[in-house]
Amino acid sequence: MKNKLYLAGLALLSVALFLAHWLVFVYVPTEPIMGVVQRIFYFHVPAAWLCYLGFIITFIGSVGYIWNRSPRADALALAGADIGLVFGWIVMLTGPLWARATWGVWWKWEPRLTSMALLVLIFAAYWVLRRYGGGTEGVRRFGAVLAIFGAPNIAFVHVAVKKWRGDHPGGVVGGGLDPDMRLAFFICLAVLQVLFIYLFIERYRVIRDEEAIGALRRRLSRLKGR
Amino acid sequence: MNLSLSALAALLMVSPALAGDLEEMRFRHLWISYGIIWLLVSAFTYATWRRAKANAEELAHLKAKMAELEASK
Repeated sequence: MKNKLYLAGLALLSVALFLAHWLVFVYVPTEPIMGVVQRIFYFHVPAAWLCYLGFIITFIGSVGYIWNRSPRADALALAGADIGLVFGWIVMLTGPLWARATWGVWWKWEPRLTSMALLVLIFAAYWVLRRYGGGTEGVRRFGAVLAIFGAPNIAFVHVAVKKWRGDHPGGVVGGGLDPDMRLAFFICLAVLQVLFIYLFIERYRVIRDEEAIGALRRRLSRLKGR
Repeated sequence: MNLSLSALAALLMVSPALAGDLEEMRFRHLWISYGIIWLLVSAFTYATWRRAKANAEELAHLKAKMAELEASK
């Protein structure tokens, strides 16, 4: 029964993803100045929001880990960073493709782009540390502190457009967007959010299982040693 | 931002050939973007699935070994 529900959920998610692509490539009108390349926006902006969400989960998990050394909080932090980075790299790779076709350059050292690059690099460092640093208590604690100090950069990325007046478009979702474009945007955001939740739960389970394997191995070697 | 977009629009009105090239590049970049998105998401999903499968096998193996060891003692 549980398995059938799981498969039905996956099928629904696949249909929703197909619908999101239909909206992006067929339903929405083409933006008159930027042309078709503006359609990157429907996945680029939700990916940025989901990247923030992943890193916020890492921040919360890291605070929890520092607070009570809970392995669950640590797994939450690691799963958040894993998935946040996937969406972060999506943002960092699709952004320049849009920029080249709109601004004529791949990259500009303007506030939002630069602060976003820094944010992704900080969490990439966290990921490398956790992946290759070994699973010792010290590495977990150092990773948690790195995430706690890195996460506030999300606020800088978010306010960068308004505060420092860069070239990156900002605030288009609330106001000056065509109603069809806005509808497509929010549907894409909702569908990608569901995808995020699914991938996050799966990743969290994998990390918890790996911890259980480690604990079992230690117990086994103790039993053998007796 | 608005200035650079206006300049781009003005440039396109002057040169139709340039407009054709730009349109082609916009399509190309759009497809590459969605290709990258689905490549990354698929790779992540596959890696997670593979690790989950390997973990399930390893857990079953270790639990069996543990039961065997406990039964022998």
